[in-house]
Amino acid sequence: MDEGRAPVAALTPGSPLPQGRARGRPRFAGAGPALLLLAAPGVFLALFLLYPLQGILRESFFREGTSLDDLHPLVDGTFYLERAWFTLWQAAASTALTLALALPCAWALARHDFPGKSLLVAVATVPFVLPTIVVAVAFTALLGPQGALNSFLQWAFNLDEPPVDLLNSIWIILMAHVFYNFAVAARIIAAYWAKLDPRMDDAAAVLGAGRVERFLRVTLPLLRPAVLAAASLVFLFCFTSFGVVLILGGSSYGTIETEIYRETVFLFRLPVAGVLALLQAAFTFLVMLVYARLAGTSPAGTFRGTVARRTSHGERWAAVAVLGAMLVLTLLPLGALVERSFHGAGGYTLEFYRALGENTRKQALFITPLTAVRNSLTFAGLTVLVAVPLGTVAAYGARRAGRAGPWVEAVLLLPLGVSAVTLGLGFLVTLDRPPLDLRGTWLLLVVAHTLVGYPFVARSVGAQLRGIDPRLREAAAVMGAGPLRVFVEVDLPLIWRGMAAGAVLAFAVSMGEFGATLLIARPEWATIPIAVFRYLGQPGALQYGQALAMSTILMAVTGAGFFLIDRLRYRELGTF
Amino acid sequence: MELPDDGLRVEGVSFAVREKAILRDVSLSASPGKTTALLGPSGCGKTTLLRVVAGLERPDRGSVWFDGDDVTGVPAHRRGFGMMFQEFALFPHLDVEGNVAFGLRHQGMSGGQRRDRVTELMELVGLSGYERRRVETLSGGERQRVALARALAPQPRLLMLDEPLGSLDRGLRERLLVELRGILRRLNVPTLYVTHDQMEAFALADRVAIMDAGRIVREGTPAEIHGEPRTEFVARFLGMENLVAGTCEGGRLRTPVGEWCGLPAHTGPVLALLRTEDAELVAGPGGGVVTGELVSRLFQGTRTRVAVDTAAGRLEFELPGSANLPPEGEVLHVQVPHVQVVERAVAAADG
Repeated sequence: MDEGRAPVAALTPGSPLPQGRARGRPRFAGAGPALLLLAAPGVFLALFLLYPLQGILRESFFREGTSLDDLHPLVDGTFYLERAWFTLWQAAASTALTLALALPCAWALARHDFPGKSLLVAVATVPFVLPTIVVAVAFTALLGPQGALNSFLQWAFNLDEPPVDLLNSIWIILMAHVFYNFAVAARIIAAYWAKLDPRMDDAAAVLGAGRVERFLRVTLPLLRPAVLAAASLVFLFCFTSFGVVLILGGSSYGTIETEIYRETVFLFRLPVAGVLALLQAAFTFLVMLVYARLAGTSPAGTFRGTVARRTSHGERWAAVAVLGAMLVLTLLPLGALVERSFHGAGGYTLEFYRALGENTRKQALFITPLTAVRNSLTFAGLTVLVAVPLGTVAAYGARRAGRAGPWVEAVLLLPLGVSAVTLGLGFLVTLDRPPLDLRGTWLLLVVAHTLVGYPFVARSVGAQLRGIDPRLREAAAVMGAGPLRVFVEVDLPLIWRGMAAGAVLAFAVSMGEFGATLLIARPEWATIPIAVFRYLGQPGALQYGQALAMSTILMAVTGAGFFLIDRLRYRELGTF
Repeated sequence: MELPDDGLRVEGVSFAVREKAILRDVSLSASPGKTTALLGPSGCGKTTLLRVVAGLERPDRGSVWFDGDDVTGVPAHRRGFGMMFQEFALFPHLDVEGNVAFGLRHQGMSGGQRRDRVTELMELVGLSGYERRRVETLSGGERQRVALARALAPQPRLLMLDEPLGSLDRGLRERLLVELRGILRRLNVPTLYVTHDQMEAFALADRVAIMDAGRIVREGTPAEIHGEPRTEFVARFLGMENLVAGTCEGGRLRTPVGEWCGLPAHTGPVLALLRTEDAELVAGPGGGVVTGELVSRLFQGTRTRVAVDTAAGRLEFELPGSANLPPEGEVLHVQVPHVQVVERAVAAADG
């Protein structure tokens, strides 16, 4: 999945906030009835999610003048089966590799404390919130023919040709997926691991089990729910991976997601694209159910006592080594991206940044990078303006829904289960005609970005809401405050952090959105990711340099945004 | 002291976590067939000492010996010791049989032999037929038995029990105490028993070692320790609170509440423990008689507990029967036949 880092934060297991008193009977003095509150998000979802999905269904099977013959390519030969098989196994392989790397990191994070730990975790998680396009470009900057690694090897061994050729190979795809996801997998597993009773391990040791046996017979089985939750999440992302496969895999590799895009944009076979999109949506929905079931579980039998324990020097060094490796793996591609963006033919230069204002292709369909930056900022700003009130109202609605709350919440988070390209395709086939003709208006983009952005607001505001003692509102009401005053003076001071965090996330999601934007954006609305993609597709060092420079800017903006939230001690997001 | 070659011997063990001393120069031994209780308030280092013996922690200084071998550097899983953890630490992902059989893998047993051993142990702890039960469906007492069976299954050379009755309610505790005593007597395994409850320690152990702030401050049989606490800490820890400052000279003890003769040779200021055993009501003041105002009385059937305000503060005694007590607020004279001198507690020198 693409900008779709999304689901994580939104579906994140358990809020650290106290739930005790605030749960139970919803006694809201300051918010209107649930149905009224849910009306706005409900209408929004119906119009811009369900209606487009229904449009895809119609396009595939029930359009006038179409017949099942249009779907013939699907069963003709093994091409689609191969794509589906590739999608499946690359996702499985990426997940396995990610877990293999995440487990040692999780151990080091869960069982060791050291100064700067939270900072390290924050840095290591940055890749997860970066737009896919940035990650893809960063990997070309590190491992591509003109990448940092080849440059270094050529310089060190005096070679004429770049020795490493990983672009358009399965390896670079797997590496990018691992890079993207391992910190998040490590965080999910570490959060659970830290809650495991360390004396389980001790008990097994006293019973005669050595290190390996203890891990296999005790620790791993106990970690199972967290490992499966992390695995299903990572699998989901890799299964719908779009930007990474499109850019790093070239024409030789394709997932179902890139195939939907290809069918739509290049082959104009909407029915085929529609069937693929529906099949994929059904599958991802199943995986999401697995994840939702497992996320947020806590280990049984937690020991509350304190035991003086000490880690051996060997263990501490192992932890330092593991976390050091994790940091290097995180920083290497990002560092390469920054370094390459300053590296021209004749050494270090600001040339690419200076050229941001130029349309170096001199084509009308191309906009200057600076225009793309302006577009991105505009769309992201508008998205925040719509997503924050929408998400806040949705959060209140879900909270107010009492027993139905979890179901309401699940429905509100639905957009995250639909892949970006599917969303774009749905918009293409439905919002171009009455009753809802948004063709030619940039509103279309804002709506798409809001759809993937508002669940973050809902989720983070919801987490804060759970922490508000309803008696505070009652106390204010008894003292004579009207509903509006209660909201402004009781709720707002308590939920603004959630709103701020949600706003930053919605902003970042909008800035990085790639799949849907690629399908529905007109050339002149191109955002940074789209512009990067277009410039990447052009031959020429200057165009590539401009793509690097834009990616660096995008990385700085989204990375800084995430960092800001993390440093705000907004821990709800820290549980990724 | 001649240390035995059999069983466990801990020599001069010190252990610190982040500069904080948890154990300070601890020495201890446990002979085969004997139960040694480690008794002390929470946080005194009992559990840590157990973990050092188990091999879960490595001491900074000192050594651990077993049957004449230095096992200090041997990892926990090669020591062949058994341990029952506080709150039991049963494996929640395994059923009862899985828990009990966990340590049998390393015994070179066949599947059938393992099952037989589990059956045997379930009988021993009185849980026959529980093999397939999940751990979370067990009550506290059942968990305790499963934990004991798990620790005993691999036939450990040394058994360690960390507050095995600590998390259970009182009635169950007393019942299990009797059972546990029976099981420990039947097995001829040296046992270390950690508890903060003196009743448990005295009832179960052949020897008791009392710990305070990382040190063993007293070691002996239950009768020895109860009969003569020797230090203020031990006396107070055992609930003997009638401590009075006084001076000793030629076997004669003078305190603000009375005078006693026939004490062993002490000279100078001392702390005296007035024991409540055999104390009785007398008509008036005299040698060995404490006089004070009766503050409260608590009739307990065969005895009455009284609190008396004296020149040396409040003292408490147990008097036989209902002992014609005057009403509260009146003056009371209590004959105290047993008085001992105890060493005054000094504030810990380093911490």
